[in-house]
Amino acid sequence: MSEAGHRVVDAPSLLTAENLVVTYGAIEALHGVSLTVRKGEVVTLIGANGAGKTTTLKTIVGLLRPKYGRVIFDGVDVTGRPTHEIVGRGVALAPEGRGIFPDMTVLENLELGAYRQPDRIQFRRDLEQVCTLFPRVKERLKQRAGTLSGGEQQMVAIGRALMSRPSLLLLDEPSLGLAPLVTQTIFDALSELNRAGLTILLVEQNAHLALARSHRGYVLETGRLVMSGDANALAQDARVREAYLGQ
Amino acid sequence: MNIWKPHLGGRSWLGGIAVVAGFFLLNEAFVHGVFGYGLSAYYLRVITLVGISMVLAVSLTLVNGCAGQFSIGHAGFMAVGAYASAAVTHFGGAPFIALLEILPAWPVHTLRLWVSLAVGAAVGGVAGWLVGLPTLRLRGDYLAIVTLGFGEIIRVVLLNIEPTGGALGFTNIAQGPEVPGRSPDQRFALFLEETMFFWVALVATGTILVVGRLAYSSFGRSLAAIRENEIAAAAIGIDTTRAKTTAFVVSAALTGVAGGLYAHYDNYLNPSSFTFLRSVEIVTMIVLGGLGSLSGAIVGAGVLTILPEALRDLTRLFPPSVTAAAPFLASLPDYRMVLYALLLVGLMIARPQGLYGRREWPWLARLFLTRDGEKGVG
Ligand SMILES: Nc1ncnc2c1ncn2[C@@H]1O[C@H](COP(=O)(O)OP(=O)(O)OP(=O)(O)O)[C@@H](O)[C@H]1O
Ligand SMILES: [Mg+2]
Repeated sequence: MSEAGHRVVDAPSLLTAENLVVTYGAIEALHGVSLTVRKGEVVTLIGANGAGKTTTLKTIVGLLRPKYGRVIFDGVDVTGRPTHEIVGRGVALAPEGRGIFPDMTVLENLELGAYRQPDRIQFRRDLEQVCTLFPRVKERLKQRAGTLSGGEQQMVAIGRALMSRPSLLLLDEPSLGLAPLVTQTIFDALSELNRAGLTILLVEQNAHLALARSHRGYVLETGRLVMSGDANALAQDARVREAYLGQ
Repeated sequence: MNIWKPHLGGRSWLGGIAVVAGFFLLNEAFVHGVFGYGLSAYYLRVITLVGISMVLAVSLTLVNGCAGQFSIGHAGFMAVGAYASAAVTHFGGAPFIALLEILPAWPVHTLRLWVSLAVGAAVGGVAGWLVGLPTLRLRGDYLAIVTLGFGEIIRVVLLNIEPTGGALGFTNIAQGPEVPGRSPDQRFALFLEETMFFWVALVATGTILVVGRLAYSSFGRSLAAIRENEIAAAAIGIDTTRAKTTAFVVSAALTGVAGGLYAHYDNYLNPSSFTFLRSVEIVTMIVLGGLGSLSGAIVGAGVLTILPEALRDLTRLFPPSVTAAAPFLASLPDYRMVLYALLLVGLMIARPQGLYGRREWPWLARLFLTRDGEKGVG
């Protein structure tokens, strides 16, 4: 049993990726990846550099088009649909390396997160929630986002993703380059969001922390899933410990 | 999203009438003179060309400034707009000449000009769509290459189209085709000669308003997002291809109008006016002014249009005896482009962000202010 709380084994699937094959030109980056995220779960995808984690997330949101395979979100086949449509259906991505808009203020970043949310009152409410979740963000609403610290930028990236009111949040290495304390803060926020009902698919190299906060996990190795299962079990697995936990 | 919807002032139409009236009076003063003082034809020409440059620079700002894409083929859109609208004027004069029999002259001429300009806009826009749609899906550098190629192709095609004069140029645009045994109808040409400053000023103002309102709307904000981080822009649900294509089509259409103005102002067109250098010149205007700043585009257009003319005057600084002794002084104007380049290099070193960076004149920005009093891109 993980820190993330109760287990959600029987919940219906929110996201299903089936046999994804993705190529960059002649290079095949994913050789048939299948994974499932159920409603209310936190699922972690771990893997070494270049394993294809980012590629998987990009394919799910339609930034890349799979050569074979399907992506099913909330019962709808969204394979090959444009990103803005998939995002409109309730998927949000906090991209690798944070991907904020550096020349805009924090507030403008968050406003853009609500790009497809025309309701001004709802926007205020969501903004308030993000500010409660990340008080550091609230203090810096008028600051140029590019001048924030790495951790603050990550908070803005997550906050911006939340502003679109997603039902599934995809996070690409939120702990990248962050001090352990800031990483803790961010994972605490993610756990809180999950308790409030948000489904999360997390890509991490920080396997230890990520698995501790997840219900289930997948291990990706050079474009192939090599292991999957309960997060605790994975964290105990000898091969995972050796390869990703440095133990 | 309605957060950045531009706010239309309650009395903006009053301002509009005042501006139109002001341009009209200026036009009368410039063309006919007041109290015996008029503007020389030369200066009027420079001012009018500045206005056309402003249309070019401001519309390119939407693509290269706001959306962060890189088009270096806008001379091509100017050319298709210019030739299309010139062709409509040249070959489609008959109904208007017939109308002159039953209606007063100026409304007919005005209608004729606007029909031609509208065709220039439409053809420019369609060309923009055809070029933009396949390339804007790709990364920025492809757009540069394709627009460059497009500009050159258009020029070469125009060189070989006989009805519009080919390499000899398109002459007597306003007079229409020559009919043996009949003297050409000069009325539209005269009308244009006397009113083009007015029309150019009007279109330039309209372009600034249209582009400004777009740049400072939620659409403009989505362009800014694309410019700053295209993947993140897509990830927050912006239809990036559509936003870029829209910006590109609007920009190309306005550039087509600028071409139409240019055609009707000179009453003559030549494909050699639309070389790659022309595209670079427009890019230079907005880089000089500050990429993304409309104020910068306006100033850049002014500087780069007036500067070569001012440099042309350099020789007048020296008496003929001096230029005879030192012939290179007489050829100074030939080095305009070199001086240009030096000035630009100097400026870019001193102010890499351009004259205005991303800032705007407050009075101009106020025209684009949003409902919440927030500023848009800036
Ligand atoms: N645009 C691209 N063109 C060509 N190959 C690419 C491209 N993007 C990724 N790849 C390749 O695809 C493979 C998977 O890359 P991906 O970015 O998905 O890895 P990752 O697991 O996210 O790695 P990291 O932990 O370093 O972020 C790598 O071998 C990479 O070199
Ligand atoms: Mg990655």
